Amino acid sequence: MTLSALGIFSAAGAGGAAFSSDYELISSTILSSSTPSVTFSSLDTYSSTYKHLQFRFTAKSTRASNSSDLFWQMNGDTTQANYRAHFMYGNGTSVQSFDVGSASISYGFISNSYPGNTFANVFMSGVTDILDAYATKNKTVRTLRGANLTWFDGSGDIGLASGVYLSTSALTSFTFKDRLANIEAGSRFSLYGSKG
Amino acid sequence: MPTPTYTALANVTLGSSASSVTFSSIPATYRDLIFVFSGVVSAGGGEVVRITFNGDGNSANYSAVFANGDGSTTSSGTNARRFGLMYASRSQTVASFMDYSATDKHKTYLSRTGGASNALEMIAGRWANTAAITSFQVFPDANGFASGSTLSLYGVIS
Repeated sequence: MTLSALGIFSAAGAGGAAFSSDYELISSTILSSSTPSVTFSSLDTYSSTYKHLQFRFTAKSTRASNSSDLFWQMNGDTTQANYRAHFMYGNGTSVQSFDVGSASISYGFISNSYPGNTFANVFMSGVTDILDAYATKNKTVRTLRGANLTWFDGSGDIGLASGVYLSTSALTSFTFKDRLANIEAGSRFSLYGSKG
Repeated sequence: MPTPTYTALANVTLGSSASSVTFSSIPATYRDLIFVFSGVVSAGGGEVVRITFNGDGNSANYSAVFANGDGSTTSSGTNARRFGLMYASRSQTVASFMDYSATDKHKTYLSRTGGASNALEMIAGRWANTAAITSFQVFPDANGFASGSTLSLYGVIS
């Protein structure tokens, strides 16, 4: 039984119900040219309005390879000791997990397999949450991300990354950074706030 | 009143079993779509739920990679058009279709799926087409969605 004939979608109304949302768009950008990083600044402005923040993005790298590394950074802090991350992923063959803490990086981790420019039109999708973004405690950042074609065998990967910014200072900015090249034009980053 | 950011577009509770469900005439108004379903297979045990965009039934145009765990083992594989899991007991799936109306990107989706008594799985899928998604169909491999299954579609602006 196919329900499209019943007009489920049109019956619901393309505009949807105009409920007042507690999940709101704060800012969004689609890159018109490649750039080493994308920063959302003045985030402290929203501390009295939102409890949680969420980034939704599609991104690819200018790196002349199947994939590159996408990292995050808070408050412009490059102190290596302030970041710690773990991730778990499946690459089409096995499920693996790593501690990024020993990798000598000064950023939080999102993915080491976001698409390079080998494959046209192929982007990684991701959703990154900062829960209790404005609490006076260490900030935790969690990402679900996935992409296809990025591994040597073309399978891509799907994974979760969890990281912490070991600082109780107020959140002021959040940066997405390509560790090996630039973030490609056409990549999109959107920031949303959830009220609490 | 703030601009609605996360808008309910369609919501259905099946009054009878259905081999597939299609959402059509999707406008390009939003940036992402979020699709949620809670369902039970109409017969048999566990099944993979698959997806078709814009009526394109050619599996060669799709790719998907998954990772799952069932409480004792983990596994990962590739499986075109794989979108979710459904069992004889209720399971849930939440998926995002990112930049679904962009015309410069292949369409990707992220899906989290599973049943508490069975397995948990995450999936990244791609439809190798730059066309805007205007419709999609979900269907279990062998049987169908049982009566009482619920399916909801939301639009997220940016």
